[in-house]
Amino acid sequence: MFEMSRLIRNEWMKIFKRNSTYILIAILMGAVFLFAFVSSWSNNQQSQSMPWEEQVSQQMNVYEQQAAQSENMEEKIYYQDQVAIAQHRLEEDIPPPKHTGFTQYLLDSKSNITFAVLFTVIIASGIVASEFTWGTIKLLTIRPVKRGKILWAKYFTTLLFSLTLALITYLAAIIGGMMFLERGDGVLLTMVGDNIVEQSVWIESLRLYGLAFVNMIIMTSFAFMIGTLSRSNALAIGLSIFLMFTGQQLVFLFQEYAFVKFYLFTHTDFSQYLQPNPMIEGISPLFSVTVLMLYLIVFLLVSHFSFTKRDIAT
Amino acid sequence: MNEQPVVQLKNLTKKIGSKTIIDDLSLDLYPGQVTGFLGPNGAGKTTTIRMMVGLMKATSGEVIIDGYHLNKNYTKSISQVGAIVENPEMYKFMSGYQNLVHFARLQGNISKERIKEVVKQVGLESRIHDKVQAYSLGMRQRLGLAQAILHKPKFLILDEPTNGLDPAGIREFRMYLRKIAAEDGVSVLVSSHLLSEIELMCDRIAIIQQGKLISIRSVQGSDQDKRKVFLFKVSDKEKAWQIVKDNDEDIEVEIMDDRLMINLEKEQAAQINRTFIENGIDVYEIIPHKKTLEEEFLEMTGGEQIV
Repeated sequence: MFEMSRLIRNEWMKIFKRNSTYILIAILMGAVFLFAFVSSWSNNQQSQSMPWEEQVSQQMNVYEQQAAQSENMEEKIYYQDQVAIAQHRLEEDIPPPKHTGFTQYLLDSKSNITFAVLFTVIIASGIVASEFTWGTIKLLTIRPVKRGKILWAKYFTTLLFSLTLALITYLAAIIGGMMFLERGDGVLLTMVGDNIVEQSVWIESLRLYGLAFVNMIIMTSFAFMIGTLSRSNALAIGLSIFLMFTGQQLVFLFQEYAFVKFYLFTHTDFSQYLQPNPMIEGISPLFSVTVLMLYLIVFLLVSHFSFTKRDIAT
Repeated sequence: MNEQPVVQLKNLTKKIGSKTIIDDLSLDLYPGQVTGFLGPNGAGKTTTIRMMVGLMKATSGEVIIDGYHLNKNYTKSISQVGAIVENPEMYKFMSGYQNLVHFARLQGNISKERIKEVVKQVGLESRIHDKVQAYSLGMRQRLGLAQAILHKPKFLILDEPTNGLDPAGIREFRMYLRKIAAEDGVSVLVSSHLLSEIELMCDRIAIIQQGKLISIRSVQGSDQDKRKVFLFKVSDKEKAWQIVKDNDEDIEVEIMDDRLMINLEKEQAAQINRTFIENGIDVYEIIPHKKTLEEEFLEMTGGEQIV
């Protein structure tokens, strides 16, 4: 246990003694602030919209139609809930969050996690591969510590780093939002059982970030595996980022085929379950979790055996 | 040597594909002994060293360090090894001190005091908090040595350790190796292509060629030969040559530049000198010519390039 913590401290030190890490974090924060600024700026460009009561009742009509049309039970319930919430707003005079306000902005800001994923992928692909590039792998592995342990320490450090970046993204989004956007604009409502209750923006936003973090863990582990296998920094970063951007698109390309149900990127976006129609028919959150766990186990096993069994001849 | 060897290599073989890189190599290394490891380019020095520290797995054969099998009891056996494998590559973006802290954490229980002590031993006190980026090759070698001796190993492997050191540094390094071998009983394996360096530093030399160990012998051994080549510098080479031949048909004698090269026993050399003088030939110099390690090495390995 003590040994593991020493190893993790080593890896953490090697990440944070490099200037490039700070540059990545600075870029990440800059991107989040830019997002906040652009949100407030584009909101100001929009002309005065209609009063919220009108908007909500329009929305309600749409939901009612959709509820009537939908054949699938889950979908019907979802739209019925939305109708109920809209009605509740009108009856009790509870405005929804404004498009221009802090609440909606903070929920939308979860898309910034993409930057955090990108930068974590860079670190994850390099954490093993760089040791080979630098030649330090020789001095690292001739120690009274099993190679497997060194690898696991690196993996945990990568996860810790991805969590750190996710937190930085979240905190920067809050700070950016407070700087650029107006606050106190309406209330989020949700159904709990049969009751309509107020939902805190903090809990809702954390939930969205949390779901995005699942994607982050998978991408990080994938990059980690590629880095361990290829022992080349550039290849690992390139391949991981390429898949990050094309992987999701391929889901639509593959949707005709049966294997799409077992394709990694069908499952990485958990926010698809917040609405009734997931990307592919016939998948459920539990199924997705199972598939992702299987992928994760394969990634880690491949990394482990590649790292512990292969000769080091750099 | 009646002591137990610290390191035993038993019938070590490494095959990559159908190619045999190391072929049935056996070698024992004893405490307090500095062994030089020589071989031409591609003979398998680095592969052997990599197998000794577990970076590569042997196809067959065993590495036993301090009584533990490297394969079966990796952490126990490797804990007694300190090594520089090829260049001492460090984390350039960290200071020398941070690098040592890093390796100390990997070794386990190493105190701050011990790190300081080692830094002093290798003479890096004034620059230890600078980034390794700014180090010269010699300073990196010193830092490499520091990380290798941090945990006071019983067995030290040094690959090209004097590369980049200045003459004073090399001397200092040699003294240090001799000291830890003599005082702490550390067994040292040094691979180098500087043969004169090896000659000064080592008690014993192991020569490897095409994956096979072709010779192990002690450095002092070459002095024991009874017959030697003597170089005579004389006033009249031709006449001197004739005298030697008249004296004894079988003596090997050769004119080389302005000298005579004669293969003799010690007593004969004095005899011949007297004969020269009696025949009116002036003798300016008599030099017993000792074969250098380099010559021997080239003879043994058939003149292949050494690195």
